Amino acid sequence: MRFTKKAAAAVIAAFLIMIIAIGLFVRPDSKLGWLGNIVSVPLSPFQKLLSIAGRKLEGSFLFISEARELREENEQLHESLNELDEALREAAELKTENDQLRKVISFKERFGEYDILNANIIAKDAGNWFNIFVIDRGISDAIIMGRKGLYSAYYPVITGEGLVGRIVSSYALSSKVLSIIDEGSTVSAVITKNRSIVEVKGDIALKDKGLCIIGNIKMGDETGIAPGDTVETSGLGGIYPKGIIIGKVIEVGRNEKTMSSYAILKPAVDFEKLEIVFVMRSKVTDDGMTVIP
Amino acid sequence: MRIKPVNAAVFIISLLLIQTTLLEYSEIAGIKPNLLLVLAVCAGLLTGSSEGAVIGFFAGLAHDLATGTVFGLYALLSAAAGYLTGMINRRLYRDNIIVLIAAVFAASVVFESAVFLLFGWGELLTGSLMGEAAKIGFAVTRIILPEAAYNCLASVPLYYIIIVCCRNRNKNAGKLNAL
Repeated sequence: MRFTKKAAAAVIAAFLIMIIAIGLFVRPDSKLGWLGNIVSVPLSPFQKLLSIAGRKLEGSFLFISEARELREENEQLHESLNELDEALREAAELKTENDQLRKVISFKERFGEYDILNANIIAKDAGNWFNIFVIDRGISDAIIMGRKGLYSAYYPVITGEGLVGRIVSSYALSSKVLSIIDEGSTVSAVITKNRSIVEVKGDIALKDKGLCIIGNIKMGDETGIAPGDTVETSGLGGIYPKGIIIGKVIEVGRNEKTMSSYAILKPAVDFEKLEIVFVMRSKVTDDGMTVIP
Repeated sequence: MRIKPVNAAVFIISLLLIQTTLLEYSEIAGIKPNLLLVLAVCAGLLTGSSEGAVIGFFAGLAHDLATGTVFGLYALLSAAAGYLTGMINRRLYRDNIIVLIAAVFAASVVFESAVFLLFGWGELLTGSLMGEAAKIGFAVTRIILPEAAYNCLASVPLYYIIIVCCRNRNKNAGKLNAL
C-alpha cells in the first residue's frame, strides 16, 4: 500500500506540476517560452537532416518505380530533340539565305512608292578619274532619263546595305551609274542622331579607298558630328528618297584655311566587291499621279 | 604604214571591252593604264597626224560613250594626242622603242592633266575640301604619273600587236593586188 500511496502521491504531484506548467505556458506572453528551446535547439539540425534524407529517399523510391516510364520518355525526348535540331539548322540556313532578300524586301516596304529592279554591273570606269559603272538595265526596263509620265526622272541605285549612287544616263540595254564616291556626286544627307543636314561628296583622293567626304561644316557649328555617327539621305533635292543609309563617319578633320571642318565617311556599301545592285524606279509621276504597273 | 578603218574599229572595240572589264584586275594602287589613249598615240606614230587624229577621235568617243561623264571630252583630247604624236612621226625614226615610250609618257601626262584641269577647275577655284595643294599633289603623284608609267608599260606590246596585224593585212592585200 505504501508503494501505492507513494506512486499516487507522485502522480498527483506530477499532475499538479503539469497543470501549473500548462497554466504558465498557455499565455502567449509567457516568460517561460524559452524553456522550449531546451528541446528544439539541439534537435533542429537532426530534424533537418532527417527530413531531407526522407525526401531524397522518397524521390529515389519514386525513381526506381518510374524508371521504365522515364526511359521511354527520354527516348521520345531525344527523338524530338533531334528533329528540332534539324529544323533549327534548316531555319538558320534559310535565314542566312534570305537575309539579303529580306533587306531588299524591307526596302520595298519602306519605299512603297518605288519599284525595285535588280541589275548586274557589266563594266567599270575606263579611266582613273571617275567612278562610273555600267549596269545591264536600260531604256528597255523603263529607265528613261528626264522622262515625264510613267516613272520620275531620277533613279537611285542601292544595295541591301545602303546607297550606291544614281543613274546618270541610260541606253537601250544599259545605264551609267554615278557612284557616291565619284567626285561629281553630291548627296544631301542628315546625321541620324541629330538630324542636321550635311552634304556627302566624292573626292578624287578618297575614291580609291572607297570613302566619301562631308564638307562645308562651319567651325563652331560642327553639328555635333563625331566618328561613328550614321549618315543617311535627307530626301532634300528630290533625287534620293529619305532614309537610305549612306555610311558611317570615321574621321573628323579641320581645314584652317577655309575655316571649316570636314568629315570622312565610310559608305555602308563596299564598292570594291559590288556586283549586284538595285535600281529604284519611282511609281509617282511628276504630276503626283501613282502608276499601277 | 596604214591602219585600215576595219582594223581600227576592231582595235577600238576590243580595247574598250578590255578597258572596262578585265583591266580592273590589273590595277596597281588603284591605277590602270588607258589603252585607248595608248592606241591613239601608237596610231599617230605609225600613220601620221591625220590618221592618228581620226583614230584618236573614235577611240576617245568610244571611251566617252562607255563610261564618260562629259560627252566629247575624251574624243577631243584623244584626237589631239593622235595628231600631236603624228607630228613626231615625220621627224623621228618611228620604230625606236624609246621614241614610243617617250611619246606615250608625254601624251599621257598632257592628256590626264587636261582631264584634271577641265574637270576640276571649278573646285580648284572655289577651294577643295581638303586643300588645293593637297589635291593637285595627289592628282599628279597618285594618278597622272603612275598612269603615264603604266601606259608606257602597256604601249610596247600593243605597238607590236598593231604592227603585226596591219603588216599581215597589207601583205595579203599586196598579194591579192598582184594576182
